[in-house]
Amino acid sequence: MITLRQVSRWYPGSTTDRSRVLDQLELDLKKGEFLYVIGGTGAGKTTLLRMLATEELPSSGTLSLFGYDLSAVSPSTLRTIRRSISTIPQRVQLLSDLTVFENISMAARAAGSRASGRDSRDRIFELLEKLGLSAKRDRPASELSGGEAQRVAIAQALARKPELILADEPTGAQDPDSAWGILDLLLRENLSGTTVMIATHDREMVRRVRKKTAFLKNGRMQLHVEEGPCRF
Amino acid sequence: MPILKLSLRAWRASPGSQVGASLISSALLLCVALLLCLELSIQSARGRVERENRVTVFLAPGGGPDSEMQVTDRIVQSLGAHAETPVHSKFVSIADTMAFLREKHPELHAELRDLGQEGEALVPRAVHLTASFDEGRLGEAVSQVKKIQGVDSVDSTESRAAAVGPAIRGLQWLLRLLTLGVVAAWILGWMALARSHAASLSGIAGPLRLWGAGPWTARAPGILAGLWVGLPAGAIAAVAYAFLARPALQKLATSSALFEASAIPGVSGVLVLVMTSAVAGIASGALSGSAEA
Repeated sequence: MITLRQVSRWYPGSTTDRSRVLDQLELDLKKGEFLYVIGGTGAGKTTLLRMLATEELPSSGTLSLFGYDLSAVSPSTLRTIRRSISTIPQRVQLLSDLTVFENISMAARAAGSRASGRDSRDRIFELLEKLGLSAKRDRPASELSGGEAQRVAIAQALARKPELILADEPTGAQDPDSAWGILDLLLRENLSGTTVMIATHDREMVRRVRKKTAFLKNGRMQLHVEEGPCRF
Repeated sequence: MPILKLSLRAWRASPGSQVGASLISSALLLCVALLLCLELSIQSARGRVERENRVTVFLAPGGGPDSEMQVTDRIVQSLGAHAETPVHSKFVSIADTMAFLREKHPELHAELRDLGQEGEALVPRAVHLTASFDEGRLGEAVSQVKKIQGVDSVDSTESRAAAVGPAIRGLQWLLRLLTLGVVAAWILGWMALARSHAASLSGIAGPLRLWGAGPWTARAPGILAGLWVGLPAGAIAAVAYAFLARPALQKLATSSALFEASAIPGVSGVLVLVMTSAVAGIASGALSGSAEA
């Protein structure tokens, strides 16, 4: 599903090896897998997720999603790929004019959801219930706290029924109970066949829910393949 | 529905500037419409002035009213064969000329009256004819008319437009320049509005594209936002045209012989104004969407 071959990323004016954000990454992630990407601040986690979300292209190397080399896809194929991916960004930006429900339903519709209006609505209501946002359903997104906005972004991601979820610090703005609820939701999606990649600082989460883990440091990636405890 | 809600963001954030943009756009559009109407009227008037000629045919003395009628018919037929437009004719009899002289030159009228029959022979009878002729055809027509029995002499106004034509052309170019200036201001206004809408709607197209929405879905809020300014602007311009500008143009056409043949659009003009403004709004919206994307 995701293949990275010698993928590097640097920004204009920073072409030396030392200033590369990502350096010669190699990764194979199959459908239905769950991967943590951990690393310190500036390690390149967000850049990696932005590339996988098709927001950026690698400066060198090959990045393939769903078997398509992203450097050579047509706009229509890119749209199809994007419809299969849900991103939970670190900095959530909801559409402030819309209600919580409208923000989620718009994300689902943009993904070309073929579900009927009622099915789609029921799915959104169910997600809002699980994320503790039922009471905020018809409130404008501008009235939400940071943690609530992040949970709406998670509902947006899940309502789209994607094949790949890319979550950048999805529990960063949550209290412990909410954080575990969110992780539980993501694990359930993974069990139903969705590939999940989570970039996180939260080592406690990684220790308690053992999954495949990639460690990013100075733009380089070390993969801890076994699903078990790992030492950082 | 959410797209519609997003498209109204600019109206919610700054209704005054949206109303102002609509009013200014409608005023400029109305100016363009008026200038175009005037330009078209002048174009048609110029065509008439340049091509229409007046021919005055003086009849030979003698002959009764029946003879006058026959000669006049032959003149009209002869000119009609050479003219591009129908020939308008007006017969001026001895009585008409005498009535004119009585009013304008009473002494001359008295002298002619005192001469009796001899005086009547001196008073001309003429046929005034008006028609449009292709270049060179008037001379041919005049020479044909001269051959008609009962015709004494023929005068024509072949070089009538020589002095007026350039002046009208100058006025036409001035109107065209003004129209271009107003159109440029109108387009610049829409471009500025597109930028303002792009800033107001920033952060919408990006997520929509990442969610896999098509290019037109991502641009839809911007396009609708442009339409919400374009439609009212077109409606205001249409109402102003129907109730102010059109009656003014009609008055101009009826009060000036030069503009009497002007074509003044009715419902079609109103529709063109609304459609043009709506299309401008949509185009500016598409532009604002592409600017953000």
